[in-house]
Formats: sequence, C-alpha cells, structure tokens
Amino acid sequence: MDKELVIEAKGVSKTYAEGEVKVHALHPVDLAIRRGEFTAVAGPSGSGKTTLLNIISGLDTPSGGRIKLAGREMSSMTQGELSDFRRDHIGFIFQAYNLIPVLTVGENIEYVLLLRGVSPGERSARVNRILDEVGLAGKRGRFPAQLSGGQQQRVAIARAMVSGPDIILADEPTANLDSATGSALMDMMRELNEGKGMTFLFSTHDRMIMEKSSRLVTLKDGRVESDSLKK
Amino acid sequence: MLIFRMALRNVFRNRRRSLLTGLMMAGGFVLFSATIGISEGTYGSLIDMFTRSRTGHAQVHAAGYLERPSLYKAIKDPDRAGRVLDGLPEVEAWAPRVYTPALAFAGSKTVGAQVMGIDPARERRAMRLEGQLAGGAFVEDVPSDGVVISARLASALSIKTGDEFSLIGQGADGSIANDNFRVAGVLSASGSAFEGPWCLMHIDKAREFMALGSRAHEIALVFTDYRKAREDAALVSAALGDPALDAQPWQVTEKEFYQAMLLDKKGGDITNYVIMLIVAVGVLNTILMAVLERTREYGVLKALGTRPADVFLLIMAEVFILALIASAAGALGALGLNHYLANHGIPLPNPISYGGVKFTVMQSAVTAETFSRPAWTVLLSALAVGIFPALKAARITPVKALSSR
Repeated sequence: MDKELVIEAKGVSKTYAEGEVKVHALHPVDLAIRRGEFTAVAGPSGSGKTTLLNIISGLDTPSGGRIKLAGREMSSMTQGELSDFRRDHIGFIFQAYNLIPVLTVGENIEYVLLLRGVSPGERSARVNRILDEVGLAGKRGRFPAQLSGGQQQRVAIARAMVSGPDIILADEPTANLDSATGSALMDMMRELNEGKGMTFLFSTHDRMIMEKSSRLVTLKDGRVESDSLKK
Repeated sequence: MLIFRMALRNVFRNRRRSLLTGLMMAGGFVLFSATIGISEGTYGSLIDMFTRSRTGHAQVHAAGYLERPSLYKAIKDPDRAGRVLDGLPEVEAWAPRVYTPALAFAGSKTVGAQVMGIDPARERRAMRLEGQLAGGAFVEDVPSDGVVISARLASALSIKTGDEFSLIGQGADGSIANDNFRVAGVLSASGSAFEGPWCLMHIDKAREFMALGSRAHEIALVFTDYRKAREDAALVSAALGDPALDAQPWQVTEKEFYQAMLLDKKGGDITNYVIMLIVAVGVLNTILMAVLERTREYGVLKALGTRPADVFLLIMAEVFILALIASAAGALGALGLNHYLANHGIPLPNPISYGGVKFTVMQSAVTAETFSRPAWTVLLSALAVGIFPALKAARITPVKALSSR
C-alpha cells in the first residue's frame, strides 16, 4: 500500500519564535495522502493549515518530524534540491492566483514546462490541450490583467496541472472568488481529479470545498482534530 | 528565452520609472561622452600646438643623444635618413636640425645662448616657427648671417632687429667657433616654444659654425596622424634600420608635458566616474525598489521551481536591457552634442596663444573612444549595481515572499 502514498507526514511540527515567546503553529501531525485523493484540510484562521501545506510543499521547513513526498524524504534536501523537487512533483494553486503579470496566459502555463526542459513543440501542444480542458482555449495570448478573477484561477489551475505533478496543493483557491465561480472551479478540479486521477490537497475554510472534497482533515490549534473519508 | 522576454517586458512595465532611470543613464552617457570628446579635442589641439611649435610628433637622434645631448652625438648621414623618411607615407614632413651651446656677445654684454640650426624651407612644411616671430624676418632659405633670436636673448644682450652680435662656441673638430651675426628677427616673448636664450640660424651656417660637416643632431618628424605617433615612431625606427639611430615619439621627447597631460586627463576621468557613480546609485535605488515591489512574484517563481540562478539572471537581464537601451539613446544624444561641439565648440573666455597659434575654442574630437568608454561604463556600472538586488531576489525565501503584500 506504501506505493500509493503520495504524502507521508510523520510527527511534523512547526514552532515560530516571536521574541522570547514560542508559537506552536503545528503540533506533531501525522498525515498520509494517497494518489488520486481529493482532500481538504480545513480549519479556522491560525489552525495551521497553510503552515502544513507550506511544509508539505517544501516551501517551509518543519521544526520536527519527517515528510516523504512521492517516495522521497524531503527533510534532508537542500534548497536547490527542494526547488527541483517542487518543479518536478508539485503543482501550486494560490489564493491570489499569483500569475506572472508580464507573461501571457500561454506563457504562464508554458513556464513550468520550460523549467522541466520540455521541448518547444511539446510545450505548445500541452499548453493548448490544458487550456482547452480549463475552458480558456481562446485566451492564450491574453495577459492576466485582461482576465476575470475566475479566469485567472483557471489559468493557475492549468499551470499547476500541465506538467502532470504528483500532487496539486491549493491554498484557499476560492477565497478571492464569488461563490458561483468558486463552485464551478471546484467542479472542474473534481472532474480533472476523477478523469485524470490527479491528487489534490486543499487548505480551506470554505464550506463548499469541504463538501466537494472526498476526504476532510480538520485542524484546530495546530492539531488534527478529525480526518474523515466522505465517500 | 522566456526569461529574457520577461526581463524585456518588466523593463516596460513601469514605463515612467524605466524612462526616468533610462534618462539618467543616457544623460550620464552624454555627459561622459561630451567630456571625453572635449578632452580629446582640446588635447588634440594642444598637442598639435605644442608639437608643431618645435618638437614635432617624433624625433630621430643618434642613440643616446636624448639622454645626454652632445655636439658629437650626431646623425652621420641625415640625407640617407631623409630619403628613407620620404618613402614613408606616414611621414608628412621632416626637418633636420643641429644644436650647440655658445656664448653671445653684444657690446659689453655676454650671455649663454643655445644655437639651433634649421632648414627654413623644411621647417615651414613641418612646423610653425615663423608664426612665433614678434618682429623682423625669419631665417632666410639660403645660408646667411641673418639669425632669429628669442626675446630673452634680445633682452639679455639689449639688441633688436638689425643689430649685430657675436657667438663663440666649440667646433666638432676641436676648433674655437666664432662668428658675427645680424638679428633678422626676434621671437615673441610669450607663447613661444623658444623661451630660453635661443639663436636660430640656417642649418648650413650652423654646421659651418660648429664644423659639423653634413651631420645633424636631430630630425623632427610630423606624421599624418599625431595620435599614431608611438606606432609611427617605431615604424620609422624599423625603416631606418640603423641601431645608431633612435626615433622617439613626442610622448618620450617631451615627457614632462605628456605626464602633465595624462595627470590632467586622469583628473577628468575621476570626475566622469563620479558622475557615473551618482547615476549608478540612482539605478541601484530603482532596481531595489522594483525588486521590493516584485518580491511576491519572485516567491512564485521560486515556488514553481525556478532556480535562484535564473531569478538572478532575470534581474541582471532587466538591468542589461535597460542599460543597453539607455546607452543607445545616450549614444544618439552624444553624437548630436559632440557633432555640435566639434563644429562650434565652446569659446574660451581667455584665448591661449602658443607657438604662433591662437586657441580660442574648445572643440570636441569624435573618436571610437568617445562612445565606447561611456557605453562600457554605463553597461558595466549598471550590471555592477544590479548584482546586489539580483542576489537579494535570488535569495528570497518563497514562503516569506508569498506572504508579502
């Protein structure tokens, strides 16, 4: 069964020092995510969900514990190795979309393929295909500022998916969107998850996401409060 | 390629800021270029004034004469050397000369004098000796007892045009040299290359006085391009092919003048580099501001897997593109300004007279250096100041950058 594990976090903790005071953002947490899961990590602000996602993605380092992602131990990696690891294994969707404003829609998506050394012809074909899948086929040459918030988040989803990562980490992906757009995007991601078997891990406090996810992990004060499979 | 496209678009992202920064760099370029142009032009004029007043662009002597001048260290066959020089296209004109110290007498006054024998026709082609006359006539083209003396010698002997005086010296054959001469003309007291107690006479008359035969102590050369004096002097040496002869450019024969000029130029360079430093600090400020504003973007790039080296390259490419555009604009501006300064110049409030030439305007001289040095300085200084912000961006921690506003 270990083969199916995409993420295996054991006793992962994070403590910040604020002057003399130590803030325990994350108490030792265990979490295992299997390939193809559509998991939401929920909890109120300050519960530690973003910290957990940051540590899982290698953007932040844990104070204790160990993390394996796609079978590789992350805690022993250097910053350069983590950078390459993120490039090769992780897709990101941010709350604020975080597209590169000087790159067109097509270029924003193409960028991650370029980092992975994909050939120009292959890049172009994959960008066209993914834009088609997220419903932005005619927007390839547009700049992010020319798109609505929902469209920008679709581009971010396309960018996260185009390289076929082992897992897509989405930090509050609908927080900046109206409920209808957010719901439509979640449906789209669910379809991609079911159709392509892509693994998603969300951090959220949006009830709609919690409802649409197949597994819900709730955090409270840096501890796992509950972990339930919905289907 | 995408990195350079990003860099290019980033340059035009905040147009007003890029425009101001670019203008600052272009302004520095224009100022630097105009200063070099004026400096080159002014020094070109000064070198021309100086070298054509007596020195020439180079001189041929018997080996060792420059270090220790002597009546006996003479060029044995100046005519043969002259024929070689006539065959060199780099040599525009040449003039043989002889020198000896002597005692000058007039009435009850005696003073030490420096005799210089010249070929008036050849000097006329090469130098501006005649223009330094304050009164009277120049040395005649045919040997005669008419000589031209410096103002200082005239004053020391209390003689004027038309007066007679005597010279006593030593002949190269060991005899006592003495003869009477008539003052044909007196050189100007100021702005003349002959400030000492000089006495200029026809070379044949001087040779006869010194019992020097057909020998010469010096051949002054004027090249077609004074800027190539060093190379051309070496060329002359090689063409003469005589180890007993030594051809040296004006930078060697007039070492003090050359060193003073270099020192002054270095002072000008320091001013230019201070200007560029001020520009560079402005550029640094702008890039730092841009990096600060885009912290989140760099965080995103790094989160996506961009290596720090590529983030560094992105910033450096931006700086390079901006500096390149500014340099191109600066070069255009500098071309216009230098063209104007080359044609009209900057009038001198107090014109300088030297060697029979009046220097009234400072004009620019446009050379490759007028553009290459500012271009390199702008590009390199921009890249140098770009390193710090680029390193700063490359070292950004993604998680911190992503949480920034």
